[in-house]
Amino acid sequence: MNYQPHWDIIYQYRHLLLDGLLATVHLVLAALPISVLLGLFVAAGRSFLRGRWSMLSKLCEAYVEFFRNIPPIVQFFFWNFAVGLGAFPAALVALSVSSSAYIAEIIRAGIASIPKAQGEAARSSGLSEWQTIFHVILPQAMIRVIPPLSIEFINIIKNSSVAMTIGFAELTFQTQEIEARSFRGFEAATAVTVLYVLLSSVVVILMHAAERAVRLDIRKG
Amino acid sequence: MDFSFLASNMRYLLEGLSVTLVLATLSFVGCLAVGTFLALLRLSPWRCLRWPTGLYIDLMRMVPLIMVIFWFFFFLPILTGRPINAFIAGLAGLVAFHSTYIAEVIRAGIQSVPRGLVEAARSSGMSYRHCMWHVVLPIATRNMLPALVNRFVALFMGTSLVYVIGVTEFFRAATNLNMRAFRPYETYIFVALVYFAFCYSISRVGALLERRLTLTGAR
Repeated sequence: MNYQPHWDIIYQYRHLLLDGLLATVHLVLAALPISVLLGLFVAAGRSFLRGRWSMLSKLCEAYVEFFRNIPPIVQFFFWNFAVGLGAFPAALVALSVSSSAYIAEIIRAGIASIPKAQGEAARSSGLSEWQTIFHVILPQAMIRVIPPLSIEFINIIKNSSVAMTIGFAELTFQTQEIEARSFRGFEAATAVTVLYVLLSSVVVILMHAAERAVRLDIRKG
Repeated sequence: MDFSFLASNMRYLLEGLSVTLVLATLSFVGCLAVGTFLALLRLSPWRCLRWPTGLYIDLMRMVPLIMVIFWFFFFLPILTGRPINAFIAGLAGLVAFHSTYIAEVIRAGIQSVPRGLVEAARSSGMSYRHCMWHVVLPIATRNMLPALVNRFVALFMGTSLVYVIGVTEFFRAATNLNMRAFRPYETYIFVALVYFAFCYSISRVGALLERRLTLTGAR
């Protein structure tokens, strides 16, 4: 192996890398709240609409199974080429919808982990069904799902790279761009890999802090 | 909606699908081998093996699969000094990426084997290797089978990403057809349904195994 790496390529194309990083962060930050909200709705629908609205509950279950079992790249292409959305909106919809299915499953498991007796106790002490859900069950469930959610948030960062296939100029796209301009794909890939690890580390640190903060909050009462 | 162009190009699509299936099967076998090796390193009694393996697994799980595939596509030619076959690069990328997930599944499976069993085997004279092969791994396999099936579904969906380095698997085959027929709705709905049919039925098998294999009392 007699390959001479040219690391100065990273400095030379720093603007491309920075643009890509900002685009990835932009896409992830936009997709994050949408996927959590969608996931929360679907999980709540699956968990709390058992009796009268069992049709809706079944529909929520179908939503999860459907979007979890189709590769993200197919969803990106569908919204971009079939529906005709632009690169960013298509990436946003595809990323949010595909992640929301996983998030819904995580939150559903969190809700299921809260003992039934808690809901019954809340109901019998006079809380309405809505109050029980919003003040007793969901707050506890949301704390329990923080660790698995942080893994899913990292997955959102990772899956955002699929947006390059529909021409959205995020980090992975810039790897190819630098390779095309300088034939230095190896150095570019190294730099981008390091950036992804940094991004994911930020998520891990923030979610740890969030979990600590919420737990302390509970202990204080 | 007119799906006839798909029917008339069925041969081409089936060829793509067979590439997907071969790629998924080969990389899953590779993942099992590399994953078992990583899991054993991770559980090794020596810290100098355990620690770097853990770091490698954690780092690999922070990088997108597309990046890993690009890595092998760019890096293997440098290493070997020859241009690389895209299929091989894709296979290597899939194995490198998914073997870290499978290593964690295998590690959890091994750790689910009761300590007492291991101690009994060791104290009745079995060597570490003997005990691993004949006591720990058979029980661990049973416990981790449902999770392994789920990882296979993820791997199967992941094969669609070798599209980026130009391997004509099922997704690229369908995309190529769409470029000639200009029927994106039909194409991508069909592709989605085919992937769904495969992944959903495999994950049903996983759910069935979970109910069948879970030892009573283990829950």
